[in-house]
Amino acid sequence: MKRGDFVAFAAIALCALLPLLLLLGQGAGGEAVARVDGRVVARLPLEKDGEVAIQSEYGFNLLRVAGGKAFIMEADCPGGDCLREGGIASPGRALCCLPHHLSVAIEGAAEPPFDALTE
Amino acid sequence: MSAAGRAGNLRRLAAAGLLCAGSLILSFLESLLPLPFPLPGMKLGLSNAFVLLALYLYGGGMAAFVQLGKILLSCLLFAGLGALPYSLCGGLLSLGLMWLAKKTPLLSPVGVSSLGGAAHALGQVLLGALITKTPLLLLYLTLLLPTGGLAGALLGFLTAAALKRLEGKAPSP
Repeated sequence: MKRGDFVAFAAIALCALLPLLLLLGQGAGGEAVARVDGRVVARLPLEKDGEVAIQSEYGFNLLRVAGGKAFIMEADCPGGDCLREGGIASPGRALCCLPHHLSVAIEGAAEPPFDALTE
Repeated sequence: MSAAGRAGNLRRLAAAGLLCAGSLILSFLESLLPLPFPLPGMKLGLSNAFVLLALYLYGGGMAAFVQLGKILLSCLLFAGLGALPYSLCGGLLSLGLMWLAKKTPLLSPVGVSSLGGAAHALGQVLLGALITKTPLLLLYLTLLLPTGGLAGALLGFLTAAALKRLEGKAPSP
């Protein structure tokens, strides 16, 4: 055994800690992107709870992020289907309010394990 | 070539065969042991002892031959071709690092082998994370690097003892 061996051990131990520091720091990530007529009107990161009011010529929707998921909390559209959609968080999912030409999609997150979802 | 040269070549050939066989046998024995490792692919790397011996007795070329021969033969004989890319990746990284590490007088076979063991684990996990595109797999390294390093250190200790006893007795290259 030589002195350098201990340096080697320390180096290995250090490298073992690297993945923890690098990978545990990121969340699943992603943000909810709201579009009216295809035009981006709002972006909310999923990591932080927040709200944004979307008022367009078609009507009003309230987009909220809570607990890492995006919901449409309020809407004055006739059907109110968008309000019953529930929370979305994975990149494949989207909320939409058709009367208001509004869509809310998740972008920029880690790839989900499934290609498509049906419900 | 002179007679002595031909004899030397023959000795190298015999040594190469012996070392490679030894490495292969240890690899096979290890595959038989039902050791309760938490992760698949976790192993002691006993076969590395012969790669290390080759490195110290005959140099990098011989070590490369033993390592590659063992990887190829073990996959063909019992490990399966599925293991081949991972064995190659880990084995080559391990070989390269050990060869470099041996060059410094600051490291003994213990440190060299320890680095080799850790590098082997690193190579395999890196390839796995690359192929499956899951960086999260790298978290395995937190467990695999130290255990690989420890197994390598123990192996290096044994090999160093063997080298001491072989001094002057191993067929000279």
